[in-house]
Amino acid sequence: MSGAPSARFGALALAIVLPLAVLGAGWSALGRPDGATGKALAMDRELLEAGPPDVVVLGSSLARTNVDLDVLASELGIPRRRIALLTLPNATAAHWYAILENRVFASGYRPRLVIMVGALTTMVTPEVLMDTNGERLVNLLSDDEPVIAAKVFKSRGPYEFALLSLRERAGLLRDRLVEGWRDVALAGLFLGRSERQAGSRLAQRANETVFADDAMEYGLHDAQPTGLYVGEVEQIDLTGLDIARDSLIPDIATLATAHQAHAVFVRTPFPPSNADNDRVPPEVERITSDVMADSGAFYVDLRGLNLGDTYFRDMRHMSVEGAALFTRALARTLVDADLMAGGGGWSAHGVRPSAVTRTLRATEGWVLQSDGGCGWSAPAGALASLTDGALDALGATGALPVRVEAGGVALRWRASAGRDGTCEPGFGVTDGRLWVVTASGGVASATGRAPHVQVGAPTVSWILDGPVTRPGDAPPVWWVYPGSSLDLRFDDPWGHAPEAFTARLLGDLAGPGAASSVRVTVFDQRVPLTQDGGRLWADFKPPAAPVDRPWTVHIEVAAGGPFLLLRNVAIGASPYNSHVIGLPESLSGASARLVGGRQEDTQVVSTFSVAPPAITQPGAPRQAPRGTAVWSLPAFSSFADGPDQKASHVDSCSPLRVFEDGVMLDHAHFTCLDMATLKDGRSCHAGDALFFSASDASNPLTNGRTYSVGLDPDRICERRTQVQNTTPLRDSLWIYPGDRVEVVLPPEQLRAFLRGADLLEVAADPFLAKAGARLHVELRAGGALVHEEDIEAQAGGEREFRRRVLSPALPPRLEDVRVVLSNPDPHAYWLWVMGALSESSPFTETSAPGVASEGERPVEAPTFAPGEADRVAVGPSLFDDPRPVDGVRPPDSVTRAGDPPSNHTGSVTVRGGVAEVRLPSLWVVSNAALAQRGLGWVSPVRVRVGDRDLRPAGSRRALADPACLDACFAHLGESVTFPTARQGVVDDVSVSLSPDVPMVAPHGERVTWAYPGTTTTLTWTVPWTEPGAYIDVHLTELRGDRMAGQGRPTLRMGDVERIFQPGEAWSAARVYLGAPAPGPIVIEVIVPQDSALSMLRDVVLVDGDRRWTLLPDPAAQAVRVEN
Amino acid sequence: MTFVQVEFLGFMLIVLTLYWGFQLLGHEPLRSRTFALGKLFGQSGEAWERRHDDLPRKLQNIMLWIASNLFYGWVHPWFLILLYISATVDYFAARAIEGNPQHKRWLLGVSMASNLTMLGFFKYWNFFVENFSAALGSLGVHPDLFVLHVLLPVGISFYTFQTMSYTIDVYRGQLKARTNYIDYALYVSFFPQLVAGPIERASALLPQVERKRHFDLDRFLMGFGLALWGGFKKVVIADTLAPYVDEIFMTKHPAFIMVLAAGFAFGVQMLADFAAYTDIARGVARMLGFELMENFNRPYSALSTPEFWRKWHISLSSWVGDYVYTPLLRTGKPSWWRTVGAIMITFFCVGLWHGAAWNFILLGLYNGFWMVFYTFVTPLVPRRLRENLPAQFLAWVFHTLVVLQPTGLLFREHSLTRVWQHLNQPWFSASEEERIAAGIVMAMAVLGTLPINLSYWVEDHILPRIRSSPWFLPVLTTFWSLEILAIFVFYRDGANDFIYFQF
Repeated sequence: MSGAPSARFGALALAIVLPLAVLGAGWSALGRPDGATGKALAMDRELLEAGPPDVVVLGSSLARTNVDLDVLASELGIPRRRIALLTLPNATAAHWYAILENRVFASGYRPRLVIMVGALTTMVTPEVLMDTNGERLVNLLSDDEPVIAAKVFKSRGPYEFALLSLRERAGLLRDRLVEGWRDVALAGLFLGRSERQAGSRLAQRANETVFADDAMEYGLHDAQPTGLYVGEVEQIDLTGLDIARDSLIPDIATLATAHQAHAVFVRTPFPPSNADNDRVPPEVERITSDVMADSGAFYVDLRGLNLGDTYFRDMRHMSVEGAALFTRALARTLVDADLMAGGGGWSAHGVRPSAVTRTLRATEGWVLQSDGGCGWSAPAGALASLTDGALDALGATGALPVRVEAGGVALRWRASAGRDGTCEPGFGVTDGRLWVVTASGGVASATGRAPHVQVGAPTVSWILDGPVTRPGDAPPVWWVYPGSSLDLRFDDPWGHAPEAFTARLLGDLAGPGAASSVRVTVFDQRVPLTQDGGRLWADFKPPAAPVDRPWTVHIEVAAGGPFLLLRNVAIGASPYNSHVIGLPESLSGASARLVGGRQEDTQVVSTFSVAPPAITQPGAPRQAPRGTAVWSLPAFSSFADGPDQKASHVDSCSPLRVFEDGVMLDHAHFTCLDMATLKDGRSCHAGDALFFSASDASNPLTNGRTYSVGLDPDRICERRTQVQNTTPLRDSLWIYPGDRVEVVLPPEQLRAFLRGADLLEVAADPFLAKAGARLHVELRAGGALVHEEDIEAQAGGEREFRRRVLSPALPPRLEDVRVVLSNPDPHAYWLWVMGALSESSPFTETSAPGVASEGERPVEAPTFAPGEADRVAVGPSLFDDPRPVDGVRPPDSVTRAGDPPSNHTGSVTVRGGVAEVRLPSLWVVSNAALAQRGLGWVSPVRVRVGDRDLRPAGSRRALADPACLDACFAHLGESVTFPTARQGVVDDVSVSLSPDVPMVAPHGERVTWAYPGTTTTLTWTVPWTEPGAYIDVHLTELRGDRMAGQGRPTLRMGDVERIFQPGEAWSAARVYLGAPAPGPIVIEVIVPQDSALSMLRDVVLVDGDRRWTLLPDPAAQAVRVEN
Repeated sequence: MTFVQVEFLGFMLIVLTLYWGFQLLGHEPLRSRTFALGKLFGQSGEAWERRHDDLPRKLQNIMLWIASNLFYGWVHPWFLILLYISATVDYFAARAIEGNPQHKRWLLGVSMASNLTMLGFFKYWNFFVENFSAALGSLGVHPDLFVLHVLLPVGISFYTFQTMSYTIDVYRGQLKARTNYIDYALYVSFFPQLVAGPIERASALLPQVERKRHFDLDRFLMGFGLALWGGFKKVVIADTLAPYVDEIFMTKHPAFIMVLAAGFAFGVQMLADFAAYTDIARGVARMLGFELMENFNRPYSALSTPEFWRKWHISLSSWVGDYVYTPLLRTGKPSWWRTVGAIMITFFCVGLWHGAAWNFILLGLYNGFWMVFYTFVTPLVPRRLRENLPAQFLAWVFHTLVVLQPTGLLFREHSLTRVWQHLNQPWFSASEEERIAAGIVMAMAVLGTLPINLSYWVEDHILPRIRSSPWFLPVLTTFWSLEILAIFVFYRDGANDFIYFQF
């Protein structure tokens, strides 16, 4: 670098000035953020598109992978779109607070539930852990953030905001540059023009398909930590942290509570091989739990879920199967804890309506029955019209708007109470009188002694201050009785343009009285009502924009008018925006699903008129590995089970069966590997091949028997039945050539069509069908043919779907309605995947998705997806193992030696009709404590009063059931309670641990408890195993403050003993089986006297590449019994 | 600590200030003041002069040695133990070899054995155990073998080779054993090149350690520019490409065209990443007055495998050439099978050096195969054809697409099953979305190659013209400011480590 001095001086000056100019220009170009950017914008968009959420899930990537939103929605009974998942990578409590404050609540959303999923450390720490997290946080903040400033940025000063903002802007610029190049290049490459937006759409397409979550395996990313640089996340150090003062837990809880939401902190499990990931000192855990409880938040620690490494896609994030299991456990905990209470129809976006409650003065005219019945009766007045039959006709069985209490205990509705001679407690309406039988009346009569006259009559009240729940899954309904009104007031939480406002209402009228007695006003404007049969509809858009707040929907029934049963009230910018009462679906009227639904939906009777047609035999089978045989059936490959086949959407659908000497081998749909081991007449249809084994494990080619291929006579396309004893779902039906199938609609579903049924839907998949093959559909009502048509297969064999409007509609209260499908084609097979008869909504769904064609009204896109959502919804219980297992071998026997410890016998005092036994040492196995850990309702505590064993009840609510009086108990928290009619002191109460081995809990979970001082012996018969096979046993030790024994459980098999290695969530031990063919396997689990109370969890046999679940036996868990 | 951490900037500021600050001790008036101080203590003027003359260098070396230990032991100080075991064994082994020439063979053996044992234990033990267990498992035996649960010490392959080269050179009589442990330790632990090379020979680096270094502004600025350019390549090119490449390799079943595109992009990413490290190392060393060897010389312009390895990771290929290939070739009578054997063994070592996994072993053997191929086939091609431009282009296309592509795949995929899955699928079948995905990655790869190729062009055509102009300085500083701006915009906290750290 040489030259003249002046040039050198000039160059030097430029060498300083030019870079400064460049850097200055860069600085000003990046500037300060001007509002929400990046992730914050994405969150706003997500919230806006989904509409007001009922549930908000916050967290890091753990929440994104571990929470299965479909499962959560299904278990909580809310539409999927009502759940908003707002996550940020590596987010901590500071981000959750900021999102809640500035994205959710500030936007006017009022969710019922705010669920925060993560590690305990991320809940507790006020730090943001890494710089990029700080940028993301800054992005979510408003100008005034006292909590964040005090707790998160306390030691860093305001300059950090500026720097982090700048970094965030720089990141956005980087993304814009890179993605801009990408999009322009893509558009040029694929569309031949340089248009960024078109390229962006292409990139989005690729992202949604090629890089969709289920197409990725994140564990394949092999970026290794090198140790030179401690990753990107700081180690979380909770030492010296005053959790109550420093953490954001109280702030989040307060924020949620102030907006009428429950805050729920969910601690997620990590794989056993990474269990230390979220290890904190016990006192931190205890203090955190206390802080949450004190703040009004709910803490759910789900590390107790027995999730092995196979449930995780990497060292932190769950696989799809793990997420489903985790979410189900979480949802059930939320439901059990009543956190979704408030009525299934509540939208809870600050739109809780005010309600009018009146008490009927029904104390006059009570007569105590002295003969021909028992209990009390009084004139029923207007109630007389609400007989059982009337309620049944409304499809509202059990939803009587009356509450009768006697002695503080609510009585159950029994139509014939007082008149059937049983004198069981309850109440009913018969012959214009209200009959009430109290518990004491019933007892007196049953024992033959003189009736005990109770002082004072029962209390009878009308329920109008909330929804009336109905049995089963039916959504709650609301009543407006004659002479009363209901006001629903709203504060316009959505900020919609007033002219967009819509209100819709659907209700049923019961009892005498004219529909004109019903008056509905919105913004003081009269809403025109449409009456159709017994049904009342309203669809209202105010002609003038309402200005005043709050808005009020007023529903009134004049005295002498009918009872109005409100099924659905929806308000908002569209009918689906906010359902104040009922579910969105109920606006569409009733629907009866014939085929293609959950098991409980398909209470249909299907009959087949003919035997399955014979199929061409494929010739002699060939030898297959391990003494099995195989046929090649290329013609039927499209029927095969498996992911590549057409029928795979409904899992194990293959209708092919193997017949041995003319007798069908019925273990179909097994994996080929599985049937090669279990050679007891199993078959596996994969691709072209149909593998099978002989019923007695002999070689099919040499045992002298005749084998043939045929079609399944049951024709049911089942859920995969690899797990023994699970109940198949009747998803779809095969209709073979020449078949005629008749499906009868269940009468109770027919009764739900108050306006009649006018929509028939049928969907079917053609197999082996040439274009033009037909499926004939008939709808018959009362013996007459109402509708018929042919469904024609198109070239390509895609699914055929027909939606037909029946005109005229089938009248209500028909008794005999059947749908008949017949397949006249001698070669085509049809799989009937969906059939439904519905009562359509009279509303014009201009905004609803779906394709309309001539003669068909536009309705929502079909929602049938047999084998997909349904599988999740009706999946087996919590402990079901969705991992690929080769089979389940329940134990031959389970016995226990030794007595359960320390029975409690003594007396308790009854207060308010409830007896309570304090059991502080057993709180850790109380149902509430177990449910919080996702372990189900499996408290081993049993209660005996006198010589009667009380039945365990799931919840405190269940105890209110009159049938529970002196019959049930609940173990919740530190005490056991049971309702009793006795007074004063009950002195013959004994509390013990269940002697049953194993034990079935109130919700159907089957567990094997291993008590201190006992030995549990389990025996299995296993024919043979590979060398090196082993058994893993997991048990969960329930250690509380008062149950901290130091003894370690031991696993023994023969001479081999293993001490259970303690883990964070469960203890594990492994024994190798040694030589092949060990005969019966007997293992003993010995729990010393000074050990904790333990629950025997997973027991698995790993045999070479195969894996067998030995415990839990899923048979007892397939059905969840609701209380 | 790594070069792309913010902490490194502070670290360098302190190091440079102290380092060049010590040189002031050699200048008047400090020099005369300390001279007077020496006389007070009764030192003769000449003795003090002699000692003082070397004082700045000694202080600089001590300071650099401490700084290197801080740099390397920043997160895991225990890594230093291994480093010094290796260095100390070789230090004493070299001195013993020089002092006892009659025992030098077994002394060398002790040195080699200790180095290779340490390397083998920390780098290859788990690989050995896993494969041994799998082999026994197939026989029905399931032994409970000891598995290491520690991080692989960073740079172990680099510094082990470096200390081994010192001992071997002393053994061969090409180098004198050093007596000053600090100087020697600084040679081993010199922080710019310690963790990812270049693998400097003692004969090149030790003399620089032992010689006085003077501050030269031009040289300092050139070093700064080189380091900045390395930072640009790492942050702007390699780390921007990384997520796109990773995404493809995280896809369960990527179509062949996607793998092809990802392989191409990974090639660009790897070059940018590794060359970035070398540039930063060389730039930082230059700012400290040291010159490190070039490690990359436009490797993707190579027409053949031998040429590629002359241009790619030059310090490694020359190391194995000198210490593995040449000795193997000279241990007996020359023959074609000895050449083949030597090549294959050498490249087996190269593969194994990269990592304890079958893909790396296969990578080595694969390259060995092409080395053999080119070694024997090239002489058969007429010279005229070899110098023909179209023929050279065809050779380049063949080498780049057919020979190099699978190398990238073997380098990136650690499971041979995955490699087989990629290759064993229809090559020309892809959905439109898959082609778009491949297009995205290709677009990014092309974007990544632009600055690299531009730099080659500037280096060849622009720099020679303007280097001597006085206006070169403003051009340079403006370019640096643009680089700084780009690094700031593209920098991510979650950026990847340098790829070669894992070796």
